[in-house]
Amino acid sequence: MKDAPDLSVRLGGLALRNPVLTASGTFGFGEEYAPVMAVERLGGICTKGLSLQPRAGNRGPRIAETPAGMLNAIGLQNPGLERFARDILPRMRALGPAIVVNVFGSTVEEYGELAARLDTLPGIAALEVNISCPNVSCGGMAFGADARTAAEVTRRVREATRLPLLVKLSPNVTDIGAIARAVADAGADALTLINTLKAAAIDPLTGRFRLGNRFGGLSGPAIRPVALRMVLEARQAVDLPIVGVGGIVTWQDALEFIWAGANAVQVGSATFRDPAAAVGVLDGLERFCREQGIARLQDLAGKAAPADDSSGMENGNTP
Amino acid sequence: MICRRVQAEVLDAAQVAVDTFRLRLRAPEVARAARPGQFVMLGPLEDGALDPFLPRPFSIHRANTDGDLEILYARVGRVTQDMTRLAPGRRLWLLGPQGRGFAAPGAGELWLAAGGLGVAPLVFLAEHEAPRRKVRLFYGVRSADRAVPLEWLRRSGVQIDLATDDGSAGARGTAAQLLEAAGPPPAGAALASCGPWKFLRAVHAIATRWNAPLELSLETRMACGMGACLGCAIRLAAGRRRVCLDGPVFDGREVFG
Repeated sequence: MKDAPDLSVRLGGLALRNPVLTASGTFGFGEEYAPVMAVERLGGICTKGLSLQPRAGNRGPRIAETPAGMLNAIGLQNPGLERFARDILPRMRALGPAIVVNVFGSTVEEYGELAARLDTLPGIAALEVNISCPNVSCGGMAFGADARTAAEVTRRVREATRLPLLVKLSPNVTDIGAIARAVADAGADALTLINTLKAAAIDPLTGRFRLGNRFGGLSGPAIRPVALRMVLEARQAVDLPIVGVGGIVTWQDALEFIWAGANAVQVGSATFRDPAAAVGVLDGLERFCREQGIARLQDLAGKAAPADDSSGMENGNTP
Repeated sequence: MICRRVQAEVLDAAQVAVDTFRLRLRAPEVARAARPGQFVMLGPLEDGALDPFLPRPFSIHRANTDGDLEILYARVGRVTQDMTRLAPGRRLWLLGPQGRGFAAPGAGELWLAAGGLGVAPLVFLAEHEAPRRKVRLFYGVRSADRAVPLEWLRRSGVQIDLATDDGSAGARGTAAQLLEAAGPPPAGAALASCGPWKFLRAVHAIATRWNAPLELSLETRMACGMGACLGCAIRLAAGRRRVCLDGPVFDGREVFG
């Protein structure tokens, strides 16, 4: 195939030249990683969760490594809207990728006010509404755990801005389909799923919690099959575009999410392991399409096929 | 700031004291840019393996213009255990040099207080400063067999005083006690220290009494080492700081007030 494969994607009102973004909370405001990787190649950057007022975040320790993953309880530390607008956003605009501002509030009104004020700033491609942080006592997951409040926040933000809205859902729920439907009906352009799984770790020798906050959010490859399952369930529930996230390290991991029905992906904790992980995912997706003669990556979205009943025979596992 | 991610080549991994190891790497871009007090993120040791998942921060123990870089570390867990088995020629991911290093202000004497493995970044500072000023190192370990051999550093002009908790070598006690007994330093002296939190607090109290500037190198868990994840942020007297980029070296007053 002579032409480069088409990796572009539309997430409602958000058009991206490629489907690989960095996940909120793992990439700061983009400039942190600029010295060591090709930030400009990303499809988009989801910022650290932003609130109206600055937040100091949780006490430490804030992170702990766990099998094939990690816990974090940062507590949404962020510089607040004013400093973001004045100092950070102008520098972010120079980076190149679409800027997706992850937003949260402790009340529905705060979500609305923050969205309204971001609406007036130049250079923001979309908002990602965080109703799923497991690490703060109010706000965050409190809104995302229930279809009614999830819809209420979405509706309020929808009324406050013309920007495309991604709504980031929590995996810490019983019925992700019901929440996906509620958020879709309330005006979301796309769904991002999943946020981290609420989890804990204790030092076996001292009996101490390994995080200052006791509980934290589990991320990394350990959660990938769970994330994939939830993308599949959300895909069944709604027609909205989906951004898949959770444990993606390689391009193969990303493809798994595309087959499951994701239209774009976010790379999160893997960036800590390799700052260029997201660019590696992008390169791999492009190579795969080229080698397989796939003209548009989007043609694969949601096309996962049933398992092959005879595939167990390969290892001589005859019944 | 020049921070890069490179493939470093293992030159050797040697045990230098009980549970204490030294990893020598060839990483010219990182070694030549490194300043005393800065750190590197090392690993993951296996490219394809997802567990352990994260790289690990290590202060730079030595670096030279030939392009060699040394890490001094204690065997405390799975990753450091695996590090002791690295064969020469192995290639490892290395991110750095990163963070704010020592300023070591002035041209007067430089007094360094090392608690245990806290000696790692102070040796780099001592070696760097010895050609232009008098440098003294007060080095405390639990017992004689845990002291990293530093004869080479002594020969380059650094005066080293050793303390052991059990009195098996040098003075009995901590490096903070050793430091206090030797002082106060001449006017214009600067201090730097690295070690356990309680030890740093003791050194800070001494420096405050002497009215001498003190820099402290801190250690925390880190995920990114790039200032992005905020996982290493800790509460200091002066407020919340990221150890990775705002430090790891801080003014003593910033830490303890």
